[in-house]
Amino acid sequence: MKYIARVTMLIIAVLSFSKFIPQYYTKIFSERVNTPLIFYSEVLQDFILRTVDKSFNIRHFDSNGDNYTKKEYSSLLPMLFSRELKIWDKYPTDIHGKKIPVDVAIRESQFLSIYPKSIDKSERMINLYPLFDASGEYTTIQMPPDLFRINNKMEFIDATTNKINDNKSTLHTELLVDAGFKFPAKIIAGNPTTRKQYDFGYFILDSANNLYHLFSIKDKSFIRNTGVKIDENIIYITVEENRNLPNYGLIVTDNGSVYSLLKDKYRLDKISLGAYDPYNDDLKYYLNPLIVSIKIITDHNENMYISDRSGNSLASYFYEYGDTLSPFYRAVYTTVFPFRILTDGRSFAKYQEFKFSDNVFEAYLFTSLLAVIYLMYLVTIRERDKFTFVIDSIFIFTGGIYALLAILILDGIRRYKR
Amino acid sequence: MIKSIWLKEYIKLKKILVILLLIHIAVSVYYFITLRGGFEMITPVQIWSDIIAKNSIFFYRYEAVFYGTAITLGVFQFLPEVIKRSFRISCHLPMNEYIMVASTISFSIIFLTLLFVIDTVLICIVSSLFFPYDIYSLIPKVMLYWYLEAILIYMIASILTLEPLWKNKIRIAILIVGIVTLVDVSVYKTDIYYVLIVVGIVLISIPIIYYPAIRFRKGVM
Repeated sequence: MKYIARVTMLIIAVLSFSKFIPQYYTKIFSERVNTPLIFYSEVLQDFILRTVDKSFNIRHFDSNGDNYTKKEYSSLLPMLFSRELKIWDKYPTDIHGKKIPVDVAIRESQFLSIYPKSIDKSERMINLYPLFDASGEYTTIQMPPDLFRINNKMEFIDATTNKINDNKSTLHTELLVDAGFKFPAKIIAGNPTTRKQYDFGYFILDSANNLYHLFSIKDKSFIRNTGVKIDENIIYITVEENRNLPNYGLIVTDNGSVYSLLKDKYRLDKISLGAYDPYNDDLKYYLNPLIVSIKIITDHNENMYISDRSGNSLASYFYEYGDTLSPFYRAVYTTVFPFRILTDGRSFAKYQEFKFSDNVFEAYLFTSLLAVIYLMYLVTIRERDKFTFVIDSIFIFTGGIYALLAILILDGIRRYKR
Repeated sequence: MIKSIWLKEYIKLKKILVILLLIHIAVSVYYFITLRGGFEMITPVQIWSDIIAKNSIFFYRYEAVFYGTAITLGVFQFLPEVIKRSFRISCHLPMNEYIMVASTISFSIIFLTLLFVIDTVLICIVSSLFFPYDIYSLIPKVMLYWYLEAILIYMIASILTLEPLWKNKIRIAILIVGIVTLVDVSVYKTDIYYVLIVVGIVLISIPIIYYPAIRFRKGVM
């Protein structure tokens, strides 16, 4: 039991150290790296970057390295800075022959971001939704007294009584059945908040992968089969309520395809982009009257794809992020730490993740060396029983620097005492 | 003999157990009053929507109460015997000393389990008056993580209390205290895979108690 207690304590220590030591190593030795803000300039027809250096100096430059002042930078992005340019009276009358009034530039711009946490559903664990009145009778959205869920039927739960509203539930269930809806719902996508100007209702994917549009006008609900059928699995739908935009939002599939769901007869417009892993990468979508910009951000780089409003590809840009650790400290990191446990904090956290070093071979060569040195140290300096000899060496070989530290903290470096 | 150990622990901790039980019941009453007050002041659907939108744990007060209970049990169960050095006498009872230690810690783990069941049932009953199943069905899942974390904290508190040498208490603390952050619950984690990891960590932590216990029995000063 003495050995079991010792080993379990060391295992716990290794798990704990493999979280904290690499984390603090990175905090101590990492340096600020430039992560630029990249946009496509419709004026330059080139990419334009904004960076902040270690002294917090801001630099604006294009892909050729030509520098610009802050005002020049704004002028090169007239769709993005239309309000500022209007105030300065510098908004262009036309951009390469295209006349875009300033109010159109403001009105018809759209920013959407899709994060992995949105897709793995950790953002929303409780699937109850308010069905708002989409009639636009009031200037603000009114919160209904009940929330709905769609499992084997559609049910409305009255919050005041905490009971199911049977009449309303039956009515809506029949409405869905009549429209050909197959229960349960796989995805219910909408914006269940009153902090919006108007409501587009919900897009609901049924169990047969048919996409329905549900909305309510003056206490009367409507359900439409959109007719959208995609051969891939739809994993996420984002909706943005903006009457000036041509789309309801975006649809993401498990293969990394992204579609714009158009208001015109619920047509789909496939967005051209490169490799996108929706479970790991962030996606930023920016639409203005001239271009569609897609930015895919991974842990190490970002890719931008620009197309015109007809879907013709215009340009693409790749930017690799610098390493926060210098080559020396990175080499030490990947060699000394054979593995690490990553955590993301408490709220909306991904689960703890166990990751081996990027250089596993070198890392385990290093741990082998540690194990041999420790064995020699035990043989020559310390008195110990042979069983612990072997166990500790194997432990250091598997647990690396964490195991060695744990043993040294527990036993000390002097002669072993029982 | 195990029953006798439990009886001994009960006599030793009787007052503490009653106080802890009363604290848990008081928190439940407070929770009910706060919830009722909230529903009187704010539209119910607004409260539901806020909880859903923010994934907020509206019964979060139980977390600190659980951890406090675990630390109190760990300290008060072993501190009197460490001060009087009577833990060595317990080790010489006519039973296997490992079973004796296991019986001692199982007493507190059973008490924590009892509190977990009472608290979870109470919160679920109270919450079912105000919330739909979709919301209150998440309570046992979150409470399960807190319960497992409470066992881990209890084990750490017991190990550190039982260790006879201060220098070694610090060493052991450096080695094992950090593990608590690995089982820290995120909002409504429901993955069974993650539950199993937490259960694994808790199970691994239990035999560590024998490290200070054996040293104590050997008379390390």
